[in-house]
Amino acid sequence: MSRARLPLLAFTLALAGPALASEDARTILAKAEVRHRTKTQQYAGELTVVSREGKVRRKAWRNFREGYAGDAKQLIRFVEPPEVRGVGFLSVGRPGKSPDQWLYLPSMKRERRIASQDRDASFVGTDFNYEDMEEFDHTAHDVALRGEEVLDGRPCFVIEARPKQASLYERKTLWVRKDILYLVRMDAVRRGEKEPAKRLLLGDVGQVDGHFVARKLEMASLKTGSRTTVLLTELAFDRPNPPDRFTLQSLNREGGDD
Amino acid sequence: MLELKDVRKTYDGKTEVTALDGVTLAIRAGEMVAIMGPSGSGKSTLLNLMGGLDVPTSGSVVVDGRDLATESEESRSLFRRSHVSYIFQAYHLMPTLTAAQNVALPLHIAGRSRGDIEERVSRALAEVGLAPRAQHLPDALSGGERQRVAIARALVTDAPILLADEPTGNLDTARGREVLELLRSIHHQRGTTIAIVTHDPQAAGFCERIVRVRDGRVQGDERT
Amino acid sequence: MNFLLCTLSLSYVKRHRLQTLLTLLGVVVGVATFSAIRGAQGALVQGVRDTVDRMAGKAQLQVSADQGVPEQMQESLRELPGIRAQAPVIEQIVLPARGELGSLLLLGVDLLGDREMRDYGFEGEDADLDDPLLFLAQPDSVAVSRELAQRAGLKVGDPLALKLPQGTRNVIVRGLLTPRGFAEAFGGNLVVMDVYAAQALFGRGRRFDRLELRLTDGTGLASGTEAVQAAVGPGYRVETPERRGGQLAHLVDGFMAAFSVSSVFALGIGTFLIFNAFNVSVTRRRRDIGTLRALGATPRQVQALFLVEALVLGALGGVLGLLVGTGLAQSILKTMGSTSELLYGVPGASRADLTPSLAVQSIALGVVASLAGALAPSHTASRVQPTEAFAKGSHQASGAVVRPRRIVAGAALLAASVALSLVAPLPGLPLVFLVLAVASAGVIALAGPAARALLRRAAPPLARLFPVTGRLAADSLLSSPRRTAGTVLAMTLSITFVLGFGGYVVSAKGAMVRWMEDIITSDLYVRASANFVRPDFLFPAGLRQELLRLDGVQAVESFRGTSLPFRGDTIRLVTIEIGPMLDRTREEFIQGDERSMRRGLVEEGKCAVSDNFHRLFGLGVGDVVELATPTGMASFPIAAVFRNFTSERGTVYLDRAVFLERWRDDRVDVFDVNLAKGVDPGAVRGRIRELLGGRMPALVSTRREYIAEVARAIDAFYGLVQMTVLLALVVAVLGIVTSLLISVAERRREIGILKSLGALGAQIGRSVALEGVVLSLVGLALALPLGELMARFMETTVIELFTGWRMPHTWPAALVLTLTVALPVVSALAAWFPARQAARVKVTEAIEYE
Repeated sequence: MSRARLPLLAFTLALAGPALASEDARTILAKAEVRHRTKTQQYAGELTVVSREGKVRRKAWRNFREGYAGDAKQLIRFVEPPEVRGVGFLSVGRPGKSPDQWLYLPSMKRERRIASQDRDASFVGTDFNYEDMEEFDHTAHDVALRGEEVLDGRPCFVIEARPKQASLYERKTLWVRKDILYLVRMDAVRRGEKEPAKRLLLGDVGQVDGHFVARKLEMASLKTGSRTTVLLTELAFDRPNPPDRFTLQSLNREGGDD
Repeated sequence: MLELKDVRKTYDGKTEVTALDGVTLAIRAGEMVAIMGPSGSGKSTLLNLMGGLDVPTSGSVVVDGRDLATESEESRSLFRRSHVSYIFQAYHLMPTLTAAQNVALPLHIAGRSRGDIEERVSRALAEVGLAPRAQHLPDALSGGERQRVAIARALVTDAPILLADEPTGNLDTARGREVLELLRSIHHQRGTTIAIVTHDPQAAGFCERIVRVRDGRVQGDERT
Repeated sequence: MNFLLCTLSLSYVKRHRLQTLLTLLGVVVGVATFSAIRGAQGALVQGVRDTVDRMAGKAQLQVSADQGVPEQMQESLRELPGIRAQAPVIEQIVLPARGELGSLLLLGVDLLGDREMRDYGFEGEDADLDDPLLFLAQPDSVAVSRELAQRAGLKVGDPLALKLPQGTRNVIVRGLLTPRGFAEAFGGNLVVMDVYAAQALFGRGRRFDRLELRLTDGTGLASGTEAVQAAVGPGYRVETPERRGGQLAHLVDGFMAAFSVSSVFALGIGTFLIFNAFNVSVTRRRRDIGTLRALGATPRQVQALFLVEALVLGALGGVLGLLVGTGLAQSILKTMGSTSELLYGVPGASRADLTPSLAVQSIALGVVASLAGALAPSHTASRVQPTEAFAKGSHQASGAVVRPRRIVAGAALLAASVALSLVAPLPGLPLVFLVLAVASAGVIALAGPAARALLRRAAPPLARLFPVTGRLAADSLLSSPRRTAGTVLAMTLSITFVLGFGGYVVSAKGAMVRWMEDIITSDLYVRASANFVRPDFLFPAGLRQELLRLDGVQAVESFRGTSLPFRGDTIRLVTIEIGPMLDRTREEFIQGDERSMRRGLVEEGKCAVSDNFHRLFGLGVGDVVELATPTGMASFPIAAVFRNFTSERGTVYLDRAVFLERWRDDRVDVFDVNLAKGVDPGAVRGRIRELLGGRMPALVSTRREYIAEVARAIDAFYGLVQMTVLLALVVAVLGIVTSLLISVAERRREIGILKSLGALGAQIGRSVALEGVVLSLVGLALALPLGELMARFMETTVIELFTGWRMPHTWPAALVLTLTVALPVVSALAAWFPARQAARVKVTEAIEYE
C-alpha cells in the first residue's frame, strides 16, 4: 500500500545522476542510486484513479520514510476520503527479506499484518500492483543498454532490465535521462506476453532540497485503459523523524503524522 | 372325436362330494348332443372335463386323440385355443369391451395378426347377424344379442368342438329358440361338434342325441 | 398381451379408480420416502463436498482446531520453508433477517492477501472492492454472490440485515462476487467479509477458524503436511480440503444411516400394499380370468398379464414417487440443514437435485417392489380354475389351517432375533438389519395365527356389543383368514415400528431430560451462541468478573465445550470450574464417585469421562486419555465415569484451570450464574442484559428456559424420526383401506344376500367400519409387546452400537394411549369409502354377479 510511495520515489531518486555516456547499464544505474540516496523523505500525496469509463476516485495521504532501499521504514497515514481517514500503513524493511507490513484500521482499533504474497493484486485500487510498489533494485535484475532515444526533447538511455527472481514481469524497459540520470519512463511486459502491460511516466521533474524529484507519476494499464496519477506536494528531504514514528504503537495511536 | 372312459370326479371339502361316478361316453365328430339332467347331476362337470377346463379324479378324457386327463394345465389351455370353444349361460362377456372386442378376445389370446383378427371378427359377427351392433358394449345389448355375441366368440376360432352350458338359461323362449337355431345352422354349415348342457326340453329338441345324467352317472342315451 | 393390457387392465383401472390410486399411493409413498432420503443425503453430502472444495480454492492444506487457530500461528508459519502463502479464514453460517433467502455462508477472509487462494471475480459498479482499503476501513462491508444479490434484490450500497449473536445487524453490500469458482459454494448463498471484522462480529477473539496454506512448487503434500504439523503441534489438525470434505460428508452419511431403515420400511409396506391391491384385483376379476382361461389363455399368460400390470404400476409409481420424493427431499433438507448445522456444524445444502442414478434407482425400486408385491397374487390368478371361477356362490380364499410348525418357527425366529440383538455378532447397521429381518420373518409367521386366536376370543363379546354389525364384522374377518392375516400383519409391523421408534424417542428424551434436570441447576445461563455445538460467538473470560459484580449474583462458572480429535473420532471436551459444578449438580456415576471426581479433576489434573466414551473407547477409571492440546500431547488419567449426554461421540471433562493451562484459550461458551437466596432471577437477567447490551450477545435464560431450549434441540434432532413414524402410520391406514376394499369385493354376493334378507345399508356399512376398527385394534394388541421389544433393542443395542449410550427404558404411555384412541378412529374413517361401497351394493346386481 504504500510502500507504494516509497518505491516510486526510489525509482526517481535512484536513477538520477550525471550522464556518463561511455558506461554500461549497470554502472549507470549504480551511479544513479549513489547520487540520490537520502536519509529521510516526506511528502503529501494526492492520488487520482481514472477508470476506462472515466470514473474518477481520489485519495490523499501523508508519507514518511527513513532509511533507504533494504532497510527503509515507512509510515503512511491516509487523510482522504473520510472513509479511510486515519488508516495507517507501516512497513519495516528487513534486509534480504520482504518487509513486515501492517495496516491500522481506526474503525477496529487494531493493527493487522499484511500478507505480502499477493503481488499481482491492485494496490488500493490503483493501476499499481504490489510488485510495482516494491523498490526497484537494479542488483536484482540483469540489465543491458539497448541504445538511446529522445523523449520529450531530452536524450535518454534505453535500458532493458530482466528480473533475476520470480516476478510478474518478463522484462522492463527503462528510459533514463542522460543529463541528470533520471528515470522518466518505464514499460513493463508481463511473463509470456509480447506487448507492455503497464507504462509508468514520471513528469514535472524539479529540485527540492537539492534533490531531483518527479512531482507527477502516471501509471497506465495499457490493456484496461485505466490510469493512476500521483501528485507529490510538500516534499522535503533529510528532516529528522521522531524516534518512535515507525513503531506499531505509533501506528495504533494514530500518531506520527505531523 | 370325444371319448370319456370311466370318468370319476370328486371334490374335496369338509365332506367329499362325488360329481361324476364312472361315466363313459363317446361323442362322434359332427354330432350335436344335449346333456340333460337336474341340478347337481354332474352335467356341467362333464362339460368342463370335455373342454379340458378340469381334469377327472380318475378315468380318461380323450379328445381328438389326446388324453386331456394326463396333460398339464398349460398344454390343455393351448389345446383349448385350437379345439374347443365355450358358450355360457351368463354369457361371460367382458363388460368393458365392445361386442367386436369380445369376439376378438380368443384371437388376441392366441396371438393372431391384426388383419386376420379383423376379418374373422366381422365374419363371425355377420354370421350371428350382429354386424351392425359390433361397436356396442354388452350392457347396450339384449340378452339374446349378448348370447349371440358369445356364439360369435365361439365361432371365431373355427374350433371343431363347441361346448355350451345352458345357453338358453337366461333367455325367454323366443330368444332361446333363435340361439338354438343359430347353433343348429352352425352345426349344419360347419360340421362343428356341439355339446349342450341344458335342462330345457326345447333345447334338447334341437339335438340329434340326448344324454341323460343323474347323480353323476349316465342314465340314458337316446337319439331323436 | 398388448390388447389385453390396453383393454382389460385399463378398463379395470377405470372402474376401480380409488383402489388403483391407493395401490399407486403405496408405491409412491415407498419410492418417495426412499428417493427423498437418498436425495437429501446425496444433496447434503454433495453440498458439503462442493462447499468445502469450492471454498478451499487453491489452498492445499488447512490448519484447524475446534477452538480455533490463534493469530500468532501465522507468525510461526510465515518463515516455514515450503509454504508459498497462507490465508486465515472464518466460516460462519448466518441467517438473514429475511428468512426466505435461506441460511448464508459467511466467509471471513483476508482480502489483502487472499487472492493467492481464491479467484474472486469481484465486481462492483462502485469499485469499492477493487479498493480493499475502502472495503476494509468500513467493517460493515460485505461482498455477496451475484446470485444472492439477484435473489434478494440487492445492489451495491444496500444494507443486508443479518441475525447475528448480538442481534439483527445491517451489513453493507460493497461488492458482488461473480458466480465462478468459490462464489458458487453453499449454493451461491455466500457472503464474504474481512476476516478481522468477522473475528469481532463472531467473538472469535484473536483467532481464526483455520489457516489455509499453499505450498511452493516442488513441496510435496506429505512433506508439507509433516512440516506444518511439526510447526503447529499436535493440538491442530493439518489436512487437505478433500479430507476435511470427506470427513464432513462421512458425518452426514452417518447421520442419514438411521433413516435408511425407514426408507426400507416404507418400501416394504408399499410392497405389501401392492400385494393387497393385487389380491383385490384378482378376486374381483376371477370371473374374467375364468373366461380368459376358457377362451384358451394359458396360466402363464394370465400371470404375465398381472405382472405387466404391476410393472406399469411400479414404473408409474416410481416416477411419481421420485417427483414427490424430490419435493420431499427439499423439506428434509430444510429440517436436516438446520439440524445438521446445529449438531455438527455441517453447512446444509439448499437444493436436492434429481440425479440420473437416483432416478434409475427409484424407478427400479418401484418396479421391483411392485413386482414383488404382485408375484403371489399373480400366481394365484394363474391358478384360478375356470370351473371354480364360474361356480355359483361367492369366492372365499381357502381356509388357512393353523399349522403348529409355522407357529413354532415364528416363535423361534423371534427368539433368535432377541438372541442376536444380545450377542451382536455383526457390527453396525448390518446387525440392525439382520435382527429386524429375522424378527420380521418371525412376525410374518406368527401374525396370522395370533390374529386368528385373538379374533376368536373377540368375536363373542363383539357380537354381544353390536348384535348385528359385530357379528357380521367378526364373521367376515374370520371367514377370510388370509386377507385378515395380511392386514393384521401390515398393521402390526407398522405399529411395531411406531412403538419401537417412538418408544425409543420417548426413552431417550426422558433420559436426557432427567439428566438435564440433574445437571442444569444454576439460576441463570448466559450464553454467547444459540448454537450448542458450533458456537457463533464466544465470551471473553473477563466477563465473569463483571457478572460477579452484579447485584444478587453469588457465583459464576465458566463453561466451555469444544471438540477434539481422539482415535480417529471427534469427541467433545467440556471444561468448567469442576468444584462449584459438583456442588450444585447430581451425577450418576458408573465408575468412581463424586469424591474421586472432585479430587481427581481439581487437585490431580485428571479427567472424567462420559458413560458413552467409556463404552465406545473401552476406557475407564485407571486408564489414561491421551489428548492433543495446543501445547502438545497430554495424558489425563480417568478419575470417574458418569452418565452424560453431551455428545454422542463421547465426552471428556476437565477442570477449567487445566484447560486454560494446556489450551491457552480462556474464552467461554456459557456462564452458569448462581444467585444469592431469594434474589429474583428476572431482575438479575435485566441487569445482565444491560451489562452486555449492544456489546455482546446476551442470550440469558433461566434454568427452566435453558432446559426447554436444550430439549428443543433434542426435539429437532428427533424431528425426522417422528416424521418417519408418522409415515408408517399413514401407510398402515392405507393398508386398512385396501384390506376393507378386498373384504367388500369378496363379499359382494353375501352382502347382496344379507340385504335381500333385510339388512340395512347402514348396518352393512357400520360392520365394514367395525371391521376396520377391529383390524387396527388386533394389530395394536400384537404390536404392543413387539414394539416394546423393538424399543428396547433400539435403546440398548442399536444406540450403544452407534453412540455408546444406554437409554433407561421408559414405557411410552402417552404414545400407546394416543394410538389406542387414534387408531380405531382413523381406521373407522379410513373404512368410510369401503363401507359406503358396501352400503350401496345393489341386491339384484350382487346376486346376478356370480
